[in-house]
Amino acid sequence: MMRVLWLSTLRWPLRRPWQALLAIVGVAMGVAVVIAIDIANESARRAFLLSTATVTGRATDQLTGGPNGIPEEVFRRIRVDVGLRESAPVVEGYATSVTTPTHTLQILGIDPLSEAPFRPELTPSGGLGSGLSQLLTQPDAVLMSRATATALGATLGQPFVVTIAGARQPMVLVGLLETGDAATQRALDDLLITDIGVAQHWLGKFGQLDRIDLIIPTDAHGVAVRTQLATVLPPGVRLTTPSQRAQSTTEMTASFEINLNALSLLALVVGMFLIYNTMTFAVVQRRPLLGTLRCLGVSQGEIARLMLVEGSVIAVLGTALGIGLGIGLAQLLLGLVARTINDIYFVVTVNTITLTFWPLLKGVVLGVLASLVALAIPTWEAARTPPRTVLRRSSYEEQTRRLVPILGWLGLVLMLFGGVVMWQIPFILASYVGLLALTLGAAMVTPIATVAVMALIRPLAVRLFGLIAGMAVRDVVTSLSRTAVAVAALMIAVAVTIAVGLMVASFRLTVVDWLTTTIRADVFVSAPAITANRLDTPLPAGVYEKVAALPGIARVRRYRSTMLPTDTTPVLQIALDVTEADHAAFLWAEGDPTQIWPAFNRDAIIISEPLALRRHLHVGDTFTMRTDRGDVAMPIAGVFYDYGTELGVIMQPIERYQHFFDDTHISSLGVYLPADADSEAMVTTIRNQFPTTALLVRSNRTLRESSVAILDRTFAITNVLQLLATIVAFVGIFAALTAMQLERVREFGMLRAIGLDPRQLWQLVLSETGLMGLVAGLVALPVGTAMAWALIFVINRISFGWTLQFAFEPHIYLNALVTAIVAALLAGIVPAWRIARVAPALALREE
Amino acid sequence: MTMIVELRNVEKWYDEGPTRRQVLHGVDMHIQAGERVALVGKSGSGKSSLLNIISGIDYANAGDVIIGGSDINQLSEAARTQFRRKHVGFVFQFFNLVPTLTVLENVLLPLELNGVMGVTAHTRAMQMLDQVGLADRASTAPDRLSGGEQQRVAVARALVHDPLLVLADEPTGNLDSDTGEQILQLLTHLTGAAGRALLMVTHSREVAASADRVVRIQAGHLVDDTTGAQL
Amino acid sequence: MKSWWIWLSCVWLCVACGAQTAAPLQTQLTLAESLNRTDMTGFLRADKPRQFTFPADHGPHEGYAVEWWYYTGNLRDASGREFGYQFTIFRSALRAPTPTVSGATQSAWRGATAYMAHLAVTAVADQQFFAYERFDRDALGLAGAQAQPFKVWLDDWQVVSTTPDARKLQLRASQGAVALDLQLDNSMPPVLQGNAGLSQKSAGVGNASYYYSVPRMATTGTLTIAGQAYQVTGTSWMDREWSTSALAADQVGWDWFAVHLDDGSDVMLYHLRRRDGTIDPYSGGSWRDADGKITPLTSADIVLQPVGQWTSPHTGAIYPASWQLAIARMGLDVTVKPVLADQELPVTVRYWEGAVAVTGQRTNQPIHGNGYLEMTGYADGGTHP
Repeated sequence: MMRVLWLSTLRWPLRRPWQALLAIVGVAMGVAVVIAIDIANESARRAFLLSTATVTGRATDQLTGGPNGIPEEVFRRIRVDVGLRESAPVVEGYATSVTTPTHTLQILGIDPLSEAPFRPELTPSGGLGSGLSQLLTQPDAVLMSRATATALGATLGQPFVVTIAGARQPMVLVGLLETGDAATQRALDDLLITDIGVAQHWLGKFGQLDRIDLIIPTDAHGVAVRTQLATVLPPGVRLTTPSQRAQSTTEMTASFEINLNALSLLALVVGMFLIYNTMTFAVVQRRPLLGTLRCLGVSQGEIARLMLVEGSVIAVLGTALGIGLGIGLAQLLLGLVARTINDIYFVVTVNTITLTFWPLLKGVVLGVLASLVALAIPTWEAARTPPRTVLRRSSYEEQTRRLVPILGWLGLVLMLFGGVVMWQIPFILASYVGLLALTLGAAMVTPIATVAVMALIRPLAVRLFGLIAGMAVRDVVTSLSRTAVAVAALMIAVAVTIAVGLMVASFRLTVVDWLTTTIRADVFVSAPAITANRLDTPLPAGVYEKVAALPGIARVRRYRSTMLPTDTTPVLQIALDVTEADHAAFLWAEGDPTQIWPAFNRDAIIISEPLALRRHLHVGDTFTMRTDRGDVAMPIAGVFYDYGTELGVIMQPIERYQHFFDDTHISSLGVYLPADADSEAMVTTIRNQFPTTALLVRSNRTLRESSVAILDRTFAITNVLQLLATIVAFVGIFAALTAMQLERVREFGMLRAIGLDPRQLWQLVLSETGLMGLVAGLVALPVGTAMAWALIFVINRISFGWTLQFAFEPHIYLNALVTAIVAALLAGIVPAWRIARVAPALALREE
Repeated sequence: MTMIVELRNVEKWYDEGPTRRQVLHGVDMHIQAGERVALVGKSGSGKSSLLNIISGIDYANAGDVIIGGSDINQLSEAARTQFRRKHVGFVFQFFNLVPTLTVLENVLLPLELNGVMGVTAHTRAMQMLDQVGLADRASTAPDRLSGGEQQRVAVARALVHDPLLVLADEPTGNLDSDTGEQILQLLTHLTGAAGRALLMVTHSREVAASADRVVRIQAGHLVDDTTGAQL
Repeated sequence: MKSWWIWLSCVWLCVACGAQTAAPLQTQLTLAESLNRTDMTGFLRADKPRQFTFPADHGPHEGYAVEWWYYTGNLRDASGREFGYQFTIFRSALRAPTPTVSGATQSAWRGATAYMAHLAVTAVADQQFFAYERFDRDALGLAGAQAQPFKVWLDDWQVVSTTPDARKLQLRASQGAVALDLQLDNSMPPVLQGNAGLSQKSAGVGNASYYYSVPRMATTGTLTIAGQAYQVTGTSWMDREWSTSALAADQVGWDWFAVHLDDGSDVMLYHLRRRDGTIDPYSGGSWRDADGKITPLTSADIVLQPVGQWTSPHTGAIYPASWQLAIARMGLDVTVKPVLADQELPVTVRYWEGAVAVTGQRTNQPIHGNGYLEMTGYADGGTHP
């Protein structure tokens, strides 16, 4: 162990603590964003699985039914005819607390007398006071954990109120669930246990069960039970396993999670640039020292090791800090992730993050790996330092400049490669590899772009702003070895901003257009639901008839939306009234409208584009639907554009739906008014018809607005990530520029000595950083556009199956350019301030 | 007499695009143990190139570079580095102390590179610092020292691992004449006494005068080889 | 005489415990607490003798809070291998039969009645004992009782009449290792216990039950243990009882005997133990001789002595190991001894109920018999012998 040699290196960061600190912060932020997204996703998933596991208990199998669940008579058959005692009926639903912030509460309606083998932790301890008899006998009685009771402000024996489907529902807390360990306690968070009969009443599910949990032994007896079950189950009821069910639910969010992960990786890429940048500076600054060491006989390998260890220290510290930051950030992101999942996919109640091993390990591995990759080139550079004490920096810069065109060509090739990969290989992973190649390629092209831009600008700069401006322009090029990396990092961050901005804009444009086309009715009536853009909560009985009978209405369309289970992820089934007047509301990706509608009215269904892409379905194929009459293969008449859900949509006439499913519920109504009618007035009229019923009555405009609002909400997390990537980049460019300028204190001292005043130094430094920002911004424009193209036409299409229009929004470009320049200028302030403060003599003596 | 440095017909050129710039032409040179030699010449005459070749920092395009009996021109880069750490001591014009190390640590560094550590190394480094009169500044940072003091530390560092050959590149170039004189005395005293060879590259008459022998280089040719006294 | 408090406590505890986890909880209950049905409003009381009509009275009496159908029997197969069985279905009102208005009552699940059932089988030769417990609500037809045609059931456990007059019954129940499929002959006229079927259990009008028994039911059928089916014959005893309240606060347990003697007599007697260790004067029983003549017995007629102790390895409760029974009026002096010491039911509220062998003398002649013994109130802080 060469102690002294190591000290010579390890003490270096202590001499420039800010530089080291900024590098650490950069790595930390990259790592933080990655693990925060991971932890948030994982927490939401675990919360879902945990609550699923809690409400599933020890069931080995489950019976599930169609949209109206299982007729409860099936349960009697299982108990009395099959004699399967280990069976428990469940009615589930959701409520919302009236607290601030609101909690989404899961209602679990159980038969307490069937529970013992299934969910022992859901049954209270404490004998007579435990509330079990009240559960069976008292109206609106619930059990919950102490934590939930505290959160809801509910006290034992006292009534409290929650909201179910928009209506106030009083409840009485009759017992507390107390379990020992924290994990089980957490599983009970936001869970309301009630008697199955009460749950049926609250949720309007009289006569139906959502599922029946079973414990079927694996022995011969179990096999006999399964055979027997098959004989008593009606066609729409299926035997499945809890894990299958949970899995197909969590798979719904796969695309969403992949995209978040990809965005978080971008932050890490920017972080990589940062550590690369820092270490490159470390090498450049230390060249004389390294040269001396080489003269004294320190070998290349030893130098490389020194640099690697120093970089690793930064990487490890940064990663450690990043994990801490990431855990904090995860808590902040969790709300956004959970809201998006609730808005689009399924209900998950999660308020606190769950730390698991894998996201943390992934953070550590990625942080350290990214750092080591970023370290490779500076380390190699350091090791190549010749044993000289007087080094001509210019020769090094010359060498860099010779590399610039080669790098540029390589970059172009890499970008091309990325494009081809994305174009040719329709897999999401390949798309991201392609995007990464595109990004890195663009970074490699940045130096030559910098040289080109500076060459273009210089004459103009000299003419307009004088020699100092000209100096600034030239300095950017002459210190290309340092400027290029900083510019590239900023460029990538800005390009990401542009790309995400364009993607969101394109999405918005497309969806707004689509909403305008498809939302034709003047007034919409639906029941409030927890999952904001899913309309599967049935309308109370009689609403349709009453609305249809109102005067001043041209016609009413009925919709019945249900989630239809399939072998993989569920799809959204919409049964609806379609008349000729409605045909224009569909935009066809595949199929001939003149043939689609006759077929649709005959026996065919129409499906959404994402479903067609995901399952490789085309017009003429069939889709097998699980109905209450068994599996029915339905021909596909057309594929329509749809941006509501990437899970896919199936539409069929409502009469056919009612034929195949024992479900006469209506989910929503589209009310059409005569041409000159006032739709807002009709909204009021309809609302007044149902003073005590919780109904969502919205005009065309309000519905469109709220749909767009949900869309915007789902992009909230995207925007946060984009902002974080920009912050990482800003830290990067700040670190880079500060280091770069501080290194030139001597040069500036000389300039001061020959007569530049501090103001002119300010000018010089800020011009340089501003120019770098400008270059970064300019290069980012095409790169960002290319990335947007990749996101919109490749990645979105592969992961969600959407055809989007490209929204060209000049303000996004302008914002990006301004952001780049402002960030660079801001980053120049500290060095400019410090340099201008330094007395010329002192500056000259440095080093 | 042991021959420390033996150059035979050393050629050095740089290819710069289509043109070749020859910096050393058939240089022959011998330095014996205990001998102190000054290498003088104008800027661009090839002094630094010659020094780099002798120290193993650079290689000769042709000829033999035999230092301490082995032809270092035949060695790999790694082997030359090993050779340098063992047998060569450097004194630079700009001192080139490691700023992140204390005075003592700077002197310890060559020992450490040669695998000498612990008490032995410490004692030896302190002895050396004592010889250059800086034992009391052992734990000071180099940038707290005056130029002369820094160069004395550099001398201690150059000699601490007992090299065969000490190379000094304008050792007084950055010092006033009195301080320069001190350094020269230290250098000549400490090298000569232990039977090491000392090669000083210099412009300075005083430096040349302190040498046993002066070698003049002109446009890549050794043109003169006289004793310091003769100069 | 059957398990008031068992049933009442079970309604409280059923969910919490499940079949195997009752032990920690039952200690929290005292008998008085579990008997304390605080609100008897809306229920009928057993406060006067009534006219029994059959088969109508085989069916449920929903005006009363609790009711049970209790079958025990001593069986043997052709090779002389002996078995005992107990099959009981309890009915308990969750609330008074008067309808209460609440939205949830529209749900089929929110019926006013719950059922519990116990199934136990004793294999004497193998010294094995199996016991199971179930609960259900009177909902969706999961459990229930009806008079015409007679049927009482919980899931797939059931007793049904195979004739319209309920003279022939079929008992089917299976779980785990055991299965019963028995034909019971119900043609003997029922024995009305107590005062013409009104069985006073403690002081106060209405602290009584309506109670009849069918002591001797010729039984044939199949008894299966661990896949091994035995063709069995023997004698079963049916007890039917319904009530709204019965026991006093200081009655901590009882011992109940149902004995078939080989001279054709059948004896039922119960023995209410008070907290202070004395025997409650409301204890009593009945004697039915081979001719069908019925003699009611009061506590003064009976001398019952516990002999020895058996400590339950499951609960630590200490039960009498056997009993010495003397009824001087009938010249009877016999030892009642369990055919297997451990016939403690591992159910929500533990009790001991099992097959017994009877040996001794009647009027100086040797006499033998068999039957069932129930011992309650030992496992939860009740008095010990």
